[in-house]
Amino acid sequence: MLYALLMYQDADFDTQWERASDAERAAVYRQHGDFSTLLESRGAERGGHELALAATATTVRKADDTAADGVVTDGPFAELAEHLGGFYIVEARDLDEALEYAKALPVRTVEVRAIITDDQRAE
Amino acid sequence: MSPAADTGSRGSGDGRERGGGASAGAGGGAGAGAGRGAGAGRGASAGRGASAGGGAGAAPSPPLDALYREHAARLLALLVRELRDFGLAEEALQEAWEAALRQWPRDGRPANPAGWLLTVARRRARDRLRRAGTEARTLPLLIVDEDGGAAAAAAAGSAPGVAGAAGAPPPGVSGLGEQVEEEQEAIPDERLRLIFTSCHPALAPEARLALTLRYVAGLPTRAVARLLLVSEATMAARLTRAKRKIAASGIPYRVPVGDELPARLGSVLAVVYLLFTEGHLPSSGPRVVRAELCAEAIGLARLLRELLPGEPEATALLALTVLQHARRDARVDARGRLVRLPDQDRTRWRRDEIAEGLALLRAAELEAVAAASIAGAAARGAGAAARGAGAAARGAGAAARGARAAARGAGAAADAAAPGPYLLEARIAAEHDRAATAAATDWPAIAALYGQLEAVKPTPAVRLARAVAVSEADGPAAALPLLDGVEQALPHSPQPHLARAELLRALAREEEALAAYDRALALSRNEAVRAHLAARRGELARGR
Repeated sequence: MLYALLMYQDADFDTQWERASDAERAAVYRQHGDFSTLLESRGAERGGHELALAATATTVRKADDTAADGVVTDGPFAELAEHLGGFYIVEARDLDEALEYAKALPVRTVEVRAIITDDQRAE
Repeated sequence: MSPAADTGSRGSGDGRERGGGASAGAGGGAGAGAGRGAGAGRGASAGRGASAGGGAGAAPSPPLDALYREHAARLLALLVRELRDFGLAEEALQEAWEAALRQWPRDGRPANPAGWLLTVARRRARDRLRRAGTEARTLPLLIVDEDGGAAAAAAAGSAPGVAGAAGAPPPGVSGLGEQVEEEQEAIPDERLRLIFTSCHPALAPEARLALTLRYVAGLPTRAVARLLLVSEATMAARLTRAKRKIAASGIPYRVPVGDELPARLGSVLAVVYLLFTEGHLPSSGPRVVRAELCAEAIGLARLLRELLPGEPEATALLALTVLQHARRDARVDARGRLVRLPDQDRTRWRRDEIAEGLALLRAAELEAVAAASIAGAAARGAGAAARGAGAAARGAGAAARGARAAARGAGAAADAAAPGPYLLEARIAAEHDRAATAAATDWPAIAALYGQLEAVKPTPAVRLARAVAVSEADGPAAALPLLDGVEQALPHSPQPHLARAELLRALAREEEALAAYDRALALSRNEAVRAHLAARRGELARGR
């Protein structure tokens, strides 16, 4: 199965990240590099990206799903305590393996969601 | 949905509880389709193993519902493995059961009822898949380990009855009904997979309880709803949601191995013990003891011990529940009020059950010693491996990882050598059960055991129990500081307030004691506990 590992950062992460020194940032990237190496060693890596800071997000809200136009607002969709900071797509045998990867991530909160593939939709 | 019909008072797993309340039920007449709602049967008593049929008395063969309960979990577990789809397996088994209710009363019961049900269920599943045009489904809804998947596919393909199903008339149309060759096939026991899936930590706790009672204990949805004090509709929705989560999120259908086993086993044992404590000390409702729920939990603990031979914590959980349940008759007075341990009439404790519980405890102790010596050997081996790997590593990544894994293994082994929480709790229960009178209770031993328990399971509930034991062993003044912070950690429980009230009362701090009783009363939703609290508070208020 394919899983998305959605990484959530504390809402004040933006500020911390902007203040972080080059060495501190490099350390974080190194941890993610290690994680990617782990995924590659098990043939599990299917993609993923770091997202730009939550403060730079733009949200579109429409009256309903199919409305032609919507209201554009600055910021992430909800004022949550934690924001989506990035994601990985991994191939895992089952939820247990996906959770094992989630635990290996250098992030405090990770939401694990199965991805619906075209094959499954066709079924 | 619910085989064995959504109905019926059930006997408990413990024949003694009900005096054999099972009507020899599953009235075949209610049969076809009735399984979904109308009453096909009543009161499957007993259900599993040695006690099956015990409640039904004189019947030469067990009533159909009892028979169903005996086989349901085993059949469902196997079908889920073969079909890789919880919902399909459940529906196929339900249809097989309905066919049995139609056919068996008319044609006689087959020599191997479980084999008959399995064959018909496989046939129905195959029919459903064919109708849905998904016979060659590309993606399993429920992941099975690779060898299991291959074996399952082979089993499904070669299953007797399945291959010949193409020309078979639809059920109920032909007067002949199901033609089933006598099955000689032994049904492999896959129930452990079913248990680990039902108790997976990715499921909400209430979903774990519901799935376990419904599928592992084999109870109809209505009975599960009654035991967990929700409506049948709510329970049906909860089960549906849980099954959807299992399929959509890829919760595996397998028994965890290696590093992951201890934590996952803990989750399984916790589900069974939570069911037991909900029966032993219900958090709400009018009753002090719900013996039928306790009996279900004990039945599940027996099953776990059977499926996990030599696992000390599984044996200890069974010992613990049996030792506690043996006191049930003395815990309620004639007016349905809670009787505290020191005030209980110990002649009403069930001596035969205590003897069984103590024997189980001895077995658990031996298993723990055996496990510790194996773990100790493994730890020495792992430690040596870690040192070796460390020496060899010198920065080589793979070896370093190996060394870390070995070190983790050694840590886990060290943990395994300490007595587990259920063994400690069973020892505590045994201390109480051994005491001929309340005054003869060895409180210093119990307080020490709670100290050990808190070290391996540092929860506020354990701290609370330890405070009570310390109060008995060393006096209320020694115990009172232990309660600090417990009320805040258990904000919805009346128990810490009650404990504080009793300690303050013993220290003659009456104003504070009354205030603590009031806080306990404000939080208690169990009417029997409320009555007890009100009585204790009343005595104190009058005595002033």
